[in-house]
Amino acid sequence: MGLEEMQVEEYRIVPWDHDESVPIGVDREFYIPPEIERVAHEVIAQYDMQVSEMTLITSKPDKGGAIWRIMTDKGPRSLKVLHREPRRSLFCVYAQQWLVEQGARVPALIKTKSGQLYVEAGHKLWIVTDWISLVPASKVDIEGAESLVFGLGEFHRASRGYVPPEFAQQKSRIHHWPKYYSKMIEKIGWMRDLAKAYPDAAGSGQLLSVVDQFESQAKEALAKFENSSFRRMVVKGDPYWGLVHQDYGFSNGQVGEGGIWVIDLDGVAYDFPIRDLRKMITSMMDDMGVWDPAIMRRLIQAYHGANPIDRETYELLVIDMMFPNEFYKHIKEMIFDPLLFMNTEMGPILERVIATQESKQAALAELEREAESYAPGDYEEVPAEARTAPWMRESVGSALEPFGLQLDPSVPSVPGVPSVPSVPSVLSVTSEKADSIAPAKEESALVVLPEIASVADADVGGPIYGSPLASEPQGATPVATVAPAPNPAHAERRPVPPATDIPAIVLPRRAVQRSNRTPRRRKRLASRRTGVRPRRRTQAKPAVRSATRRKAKPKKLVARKRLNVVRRRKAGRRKVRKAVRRA
Amino acid sequence: MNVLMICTEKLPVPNIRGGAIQTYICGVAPMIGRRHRLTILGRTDPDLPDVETVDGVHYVRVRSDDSFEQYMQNVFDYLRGTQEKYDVIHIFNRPKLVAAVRQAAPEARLFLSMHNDMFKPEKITIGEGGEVIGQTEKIVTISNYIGHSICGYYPEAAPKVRTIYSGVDLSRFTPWLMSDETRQARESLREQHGLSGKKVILFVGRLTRNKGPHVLIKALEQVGHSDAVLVIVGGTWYHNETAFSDYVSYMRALAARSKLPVLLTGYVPAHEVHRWFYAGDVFVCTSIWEEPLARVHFEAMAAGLPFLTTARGGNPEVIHGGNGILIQDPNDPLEYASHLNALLSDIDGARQMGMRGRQLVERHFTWDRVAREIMDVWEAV
Repeated sequence: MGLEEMQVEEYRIVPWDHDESVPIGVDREFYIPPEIERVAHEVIAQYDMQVSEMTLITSKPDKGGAIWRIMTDKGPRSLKVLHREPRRSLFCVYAQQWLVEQGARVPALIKTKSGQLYVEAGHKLWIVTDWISLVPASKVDIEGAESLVFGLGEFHRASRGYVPPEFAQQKSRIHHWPKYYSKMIEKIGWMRDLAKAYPDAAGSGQLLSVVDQFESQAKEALAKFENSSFRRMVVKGDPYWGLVHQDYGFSNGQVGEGGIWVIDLDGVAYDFPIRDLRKMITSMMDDMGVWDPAIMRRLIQAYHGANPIDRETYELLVIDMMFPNEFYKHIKEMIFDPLLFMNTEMGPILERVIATQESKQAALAELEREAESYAPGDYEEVPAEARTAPWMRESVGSALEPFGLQLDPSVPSVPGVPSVPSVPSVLSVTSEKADSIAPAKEESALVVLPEIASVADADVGGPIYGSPLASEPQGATPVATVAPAPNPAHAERRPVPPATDIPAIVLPRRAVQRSNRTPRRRKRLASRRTGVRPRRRTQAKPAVRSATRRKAKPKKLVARKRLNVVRRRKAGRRKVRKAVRRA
Repeated sequence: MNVLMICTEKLPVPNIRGGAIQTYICGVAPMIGRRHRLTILGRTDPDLPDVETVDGVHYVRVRSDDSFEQYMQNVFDYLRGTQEKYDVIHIFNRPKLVAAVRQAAPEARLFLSMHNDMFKPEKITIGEGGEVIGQTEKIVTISNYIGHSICGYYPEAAPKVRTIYSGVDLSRFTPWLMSDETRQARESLREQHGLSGKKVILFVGRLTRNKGPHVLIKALEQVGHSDAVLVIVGGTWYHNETAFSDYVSYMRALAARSKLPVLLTGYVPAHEVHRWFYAGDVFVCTSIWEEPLARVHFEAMAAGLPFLTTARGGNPEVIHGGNGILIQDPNDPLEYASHLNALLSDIDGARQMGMRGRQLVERHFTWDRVAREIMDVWEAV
């Protein structure tokens, strides 16, 4: 086991959003179960410091995370319990250390008495960092946004080259782009299905009238993505691209000494930096209600000043923006309660998304043309044959699955490993292959599966299906490429789409998006948290739950003029309160 | 021979928490344990002791905490520390364990059972995969499809690969037409859920997009039998989910507006799921992904159910002698609907199809056959 941690407690820290021992009326976000406080004190004991004050700044009851401001004899510090699984958190903790060592403006980790960067207690990781005095960047002028984006670029640049220790879980999104886009397209299809299934909902007609357009947008963007340099870029490997923050914005990037400091590195992962940048730019445009190419250009250039981007990266940025991210993000809510959502909230949200379409398309068209102003990067051409797995080459017209994007299977997830499968020896083996198959045929003496009329014919006491390779035609013809020779037997098979099996869809890791921050949505999100550990059943549970439509709760309709204004004001208030949130 | 079987880090053996691989091991262990000295190494579980011997089979359980790396370390430590000298070590579905096992037990003969596509380049580098192929004596797969996939990535594996189809517990999965007890269980379960007199279309599996039950829900729009009901048995993983994924929410929202009733049972534990097979009339596997070969096919056949399955992965390999129907495009609700309409219009024909399936599994898909084939693989020199 690789975790060289200080095990303090066997007690397991878990979310307390459903904990019944919490006193009634208490806001769980400003409450910490006493057991966790106890663990916190034990953690503090691992550090060389005397703590005179301890203030809970905020917590995540639905995840099991929290952060305190502590006053110590060495100055103000922050104590944080990371809610993710320890091995995942290790990736982030060591990333933070790396960034500090690179000179990035990121709070420094304080080491324990035994020299560790963290303490493992309650099956979570705890970290102590410097407490830095920060103020939010200005939101009323473009300069504030520019400085924020510049800070993001500095962060990304410093993160390049990071490699986590072996015992930490590798966290990379770099290969997920094709699947991510395909899933978006498929889920837009679900929205259409549900709009059709709920014609009685007030907004269903309106949704149906526009969903095709957004789906086409996504498909067009996907086609552009397919033709982009993505595959060549991915080959450079995770450390080359560095880390994305995944939750960057006006709360996690704040002004401090020397410039923008980045805090809350809980969710960092390897990815193209444009992911953070795209989210910042588009959420700003979304808030503004109109897409202004001049502002977008300034933001991109500000970023470029800190972390220079090449032409291919710029193209990916524009392509990513072309997806109907806003439509998807705002309307996806409908999946959980279509009738309620379409009847109540969707109208104004959808209208706003539609209203901004024109300026969005125009802005992106303009920006797309400006790719030339960025210098091209240096990416090697990946040979066409090597891009597909050997057995795929026989497939005739791989079926166009919704998820059928050909994720390059030869690209390994481990950085530094060459993408082209190096099997040069296989070509020389082909002649031996004929020999090696023949003995197998003799020894198995099993019958190959024919198409037989009745079961009785096939019976010889053994299985009717024979050794799969016993009947293979021997000796495949070598193909003059690096790749292994294709097996002609595969040509008889039905066309086989690439092995991009989609794992069970889990809740996507969302950035801080305003639509998720209202208490009602947060509550709903919390109740949708998926359980992970098998639970022991003390009683038999009734096996059946019939599908019932959730009763529409009477909802107080609040007249909204412009959503962004309402929310920003709220957010502003919260910012003042939490001006000194840290680490 | 002194045999060690190593299960995965995900679920324990015996299959108290379900799992196809765990069920497979449970199925073959009795017969193998009678003939050889058998130890099964798996993960710990709060309800199981770390060491025990049951019916002559020795169980050792080491911690995994769902982490493969941790499990691998513990497996390695066990092998290093044990007095036992294993002649045969049979690893289930974890090619990455081979290197560690080989290091800890240099003398043992290594075998690999592949239940899905763990050899694909995203899961294991070509270099390591080649090493694994080199170190194992034979690689047993649950379908020709998996065998082909492995050989596609590693042509040198061809002589080592062999398909051994899975099996099913014929005493647990029985056709109600053949047994009064099962018939009573069927009737009582159906009555309990308002299914009496209905034609029950049964889906059993995890509720994920890849498994595709949403297409079946859509297909109901075109099914002409007003007495048909779709029963969807399953959760999102092998235990009770505490919240719904996007997909399940979508599915439930669709089901709520379906023309014909849709019954969602949620997660049903492994030892209870067979009762739903008693209650069904037609079984449908809707897998969209390249499924290696779902064991529910064998379970459905054993229960005497005619079935529809998709032309994906290894699933077509179970279609034999008129026991089932192949769906070419699992994204097309109409294809499902038309076959369902035909089947449900001819219940006698459907039942005969189901009984053909039953005869097939009685002949060829018993756990004894699987155990025998595995032992043949070990004993072949």
